[in-house]
Amino acid sequence: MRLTEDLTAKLSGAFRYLADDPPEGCLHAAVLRSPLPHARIEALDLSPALAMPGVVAAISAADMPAGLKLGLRMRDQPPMADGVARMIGEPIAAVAATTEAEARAALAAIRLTLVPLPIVSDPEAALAHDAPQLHPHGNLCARFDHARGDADAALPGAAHRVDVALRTPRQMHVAMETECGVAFPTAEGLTIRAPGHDPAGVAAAAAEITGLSPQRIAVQASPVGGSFGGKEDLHVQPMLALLALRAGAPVRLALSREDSVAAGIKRHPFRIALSAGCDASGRLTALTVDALADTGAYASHGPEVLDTGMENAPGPYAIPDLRLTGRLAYTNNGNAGAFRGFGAVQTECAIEAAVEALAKKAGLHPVDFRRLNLAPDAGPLGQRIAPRPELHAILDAMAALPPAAETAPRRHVLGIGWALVSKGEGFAQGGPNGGAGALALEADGTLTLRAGLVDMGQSLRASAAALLARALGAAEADCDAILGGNADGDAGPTSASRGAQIAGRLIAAGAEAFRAALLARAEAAFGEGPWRLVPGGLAGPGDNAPRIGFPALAAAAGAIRVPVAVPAIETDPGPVPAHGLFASCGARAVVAVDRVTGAARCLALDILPACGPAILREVYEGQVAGGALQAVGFCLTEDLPCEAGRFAASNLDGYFIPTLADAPAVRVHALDALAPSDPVGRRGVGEIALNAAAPAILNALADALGGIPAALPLRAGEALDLLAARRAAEKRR
Amino acid sequence: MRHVRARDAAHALALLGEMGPEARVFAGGTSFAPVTPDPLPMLGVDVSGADFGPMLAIAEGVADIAANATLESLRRDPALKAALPGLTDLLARVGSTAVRNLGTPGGGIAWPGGDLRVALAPLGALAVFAAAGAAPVEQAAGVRGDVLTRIRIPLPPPGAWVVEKLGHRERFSPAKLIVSVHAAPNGPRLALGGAGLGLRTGLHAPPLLEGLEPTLARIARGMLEDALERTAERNAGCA
Amino acid sequence: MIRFMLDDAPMECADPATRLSALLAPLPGSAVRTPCGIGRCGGCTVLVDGAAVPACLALVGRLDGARVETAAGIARRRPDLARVLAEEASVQCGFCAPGLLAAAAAADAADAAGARPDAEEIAERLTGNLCRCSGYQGLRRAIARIAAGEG
Repeated sequence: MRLTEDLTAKLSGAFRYLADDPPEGCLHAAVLRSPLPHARIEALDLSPALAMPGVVAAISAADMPAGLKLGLRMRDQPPMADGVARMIGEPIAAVAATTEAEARAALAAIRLTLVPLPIVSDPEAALAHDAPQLHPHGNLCARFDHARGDADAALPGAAHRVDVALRTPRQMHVAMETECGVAFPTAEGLTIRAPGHDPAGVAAAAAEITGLSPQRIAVQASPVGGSFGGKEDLHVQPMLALLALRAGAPVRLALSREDSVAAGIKRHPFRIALSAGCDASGRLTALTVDALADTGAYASHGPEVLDTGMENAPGPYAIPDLRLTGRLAYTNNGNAGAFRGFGAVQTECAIEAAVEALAKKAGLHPVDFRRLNLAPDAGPLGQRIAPRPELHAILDAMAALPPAAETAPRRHVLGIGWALVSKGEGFAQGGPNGGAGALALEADGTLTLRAGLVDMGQSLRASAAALLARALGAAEADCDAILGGNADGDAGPTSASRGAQIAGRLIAAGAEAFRAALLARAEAAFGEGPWRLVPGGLAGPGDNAPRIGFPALAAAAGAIRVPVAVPAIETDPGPVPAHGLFASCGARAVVAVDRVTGAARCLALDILPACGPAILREVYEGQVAGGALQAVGFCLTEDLPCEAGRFAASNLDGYFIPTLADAPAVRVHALDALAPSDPVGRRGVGEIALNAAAPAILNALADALGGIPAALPLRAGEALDLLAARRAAEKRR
Repeated sequence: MRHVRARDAAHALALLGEMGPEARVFAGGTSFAPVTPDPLPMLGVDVSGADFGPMLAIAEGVADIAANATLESLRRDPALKAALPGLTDLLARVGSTAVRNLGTPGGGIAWPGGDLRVALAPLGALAVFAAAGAAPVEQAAGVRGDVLTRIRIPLPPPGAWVVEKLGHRERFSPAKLIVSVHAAPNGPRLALGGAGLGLRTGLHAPPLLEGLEPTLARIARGMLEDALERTAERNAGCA
Repeated sequence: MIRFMLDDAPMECADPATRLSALLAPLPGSAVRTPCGIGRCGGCTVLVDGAAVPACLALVGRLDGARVETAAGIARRRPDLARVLAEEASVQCGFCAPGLLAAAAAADAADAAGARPDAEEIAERLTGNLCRCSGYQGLRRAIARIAAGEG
């Protein structure tokens, strides 16, 4: 399975996604969603809908186990609104009918009475003592507190001090494929085919909803038509599972873009107040960070997002005195959750803006300032980590970059910014960091990795095939990966940049046992030997080409399946969740800001990831470029404002992701060297470029404007104000 | 929707008469985008394939454009680019290639949110209707019961017309603001439009900015002043 | 009844006010998917008589006698183009890919006078195809190769 085959099939449309081509007799689902951001469900009667033509089943929370709440970690969300709707778009009822039109018509027949409740539309107001409470445990979803020394006392004594106030956007994932799926009853129980990150987790949730045991639920979660974290939560699976069982027939649902915008997960908006100080020589002395994030109606991955954001708020720097305070508030502003960059990108923008400003005050080049303050061997919370000497290599490479050659277009001011970031890979202490799968000889002779990991466009399938081929000495064409099911054990979620890491570790851990099993089976079937594995099959003594092809081996010896599992990588258990493994990346951005309109463009990005050797170079660079462009959107064009619980846009006519014309040149300078002692030897490259590019762009904007903007994406009015202030200051001088 | 294709202007008028006041004329149909029920609910006379004469005729200082030409074919037309390079550049910022393969200048004039009406107003461009005859493009939006067939654009001297669209991103964006400035022989003519602003025309910038949200007004003023400066520079250069 | 050719097979539709995407997307094995449904992403791009159009905005009523091509047909006619786009990893998750291939096939076409588009013009014609995965760097490389006559 080569990458080009995979991509060619995608271009022609021959590649099929999970909701394509529904089975014969498939019913269509439609969902009644809350039109109000906060409401009590006073009455809900589905019987008129059930009487409508073509309708086979209708469900609501009343059809789920009483009081059931689910969640990625914190369980605070009923699969359908249960007595109260806490956001616009929250599902209240769902029907399955013979046609989509019948399903939609049936929704209109449902008798629903909603009583509006007071709206909590601001995270700060949410935490006021008199705010309407959205959950029994209050509006404070999670907190993060960590301190060493006394940063608040140390800050006033700093030779140089910078205060950053920053608001970050409610960014939308905009995967081209919306949330979708098909579920159908089977002889064993139930099959759910829906894009997601964690098939075992979906099976466990569906089991709780339906009462079936998880072993009777087959989940297929790969391939995914883009996610970026937006399909990590349960989306259509709970409703489809129940509808399919009620109807005794397959049921399909693919959200309209409008429903996806309203109900889908977004990036957490953060409000950050950060103060950092350094001494006269440029050594960081103290840092305080106060962050407030808006998770919306439910926790989703919010507590982990907050933890990751706060853990990374100090950056990869040694800071003697530190205070980190984070709060995560419930509001009625939709629902935020996982998004590539995962909390860290928000706080990294703030710390990197402060670092760049302090460097200027201390009279140091931004790269030199970072070098002076680097902490390669300790985690940001003081935890034990795998050493990251690559931080030095990144700074050396940043210093060696040729000067940016971009020039300012007419009317524009140019800005250059730098950033250095590290972000925990995998889950923090206590997360599912190990994984299980199998290596197999399939009945058709393909050598495969079978794992519940998911290919969501990061080409994990082609990458795993390439790794397996290398580990075994087979050809890439001999190998493939069968991903996204829950039949071969729990690989854990494909998130937190861990997909390639787990795939690689499973292959490394199982390759020799798998080879031995293949050779033993060959000896049993064909005698002779000793056999050895070569590209295309097995060769005997003196052969320089395979004598038995893998298909012939499978035909003679049958399929082989060797289970394999890898344990979690140990980290320091500490009072706060922290990572033991970090990926690091540097970036330089060049931007141009229009003096008349305040509009900004990113002209170029140099990205310097240190993630170990690439598995497939074009995939690696594609992940870097894709993440970097999402950072461009985060900084310049993307936001989904929310007024009184209602998003300002409902589709892509009001939310603007970058086009080809908006894409800067992205130059990837990959640094392959990690510490020789590194426990993995490779880092996932899915997220880190976004984490590095966003603060570099912010710093480039600050350079162009002469001040750090207080909000992302850059607002035209603020850009013009900062430029005017700079002109006035220059005039005074 | 009852969908009927018109052969030519007379046929379109006849169909409109037949279908009554509910009927709408459309060509590209791109403004139906946010209307979700399928099939579409309204009555429509589709003039996309109607014979409204040649796509483009340039004679005696006027570019005469069929209202139902596609925006993309106009963008790619070398004669139009030579005569009105600013229009070619603007067209690249209207929708996308695929949307422009459906969209028409008639839509860009007759649809109240169209960019072209703002851009062309200061040039004294005329919208030619099948029944009512020619009218300034300023008055051509939202006309019911008639069919826009051609747009006549008096050609400005090189450099005397500057149009700038500010979108949310470089391409494929609705206009936040669009300004058009024509340094006419008897003084500059200005137009301003954009999201929810309608079309504002005048001889000076300040009246055009009335009622605008302050940041938007500030940006619009800057864009207008810049356009005035550029047209003046060119004029000075010519003289 | 509206009749047209769909990837070399005859197709018909009774209601002229139907959107082309609503007709094509449910067909078994269809290469047409509608990520936004309002003509703002390029994902459902098909060719109508060689011109790229968003299927979600195109009404079937004007297609009588037309030739409609989806990515499935284009991939057979232009395997060279699909190969260049794949080799340069122009797409990742691939959900936007059929629309991109359709747009690329129309972009890589000479005008009436026989002039071939340069890289800048090809890029202009592909700017309406949104991709959330790739950052467009692979597409830029592919465009350079297409402009140079490969594909």
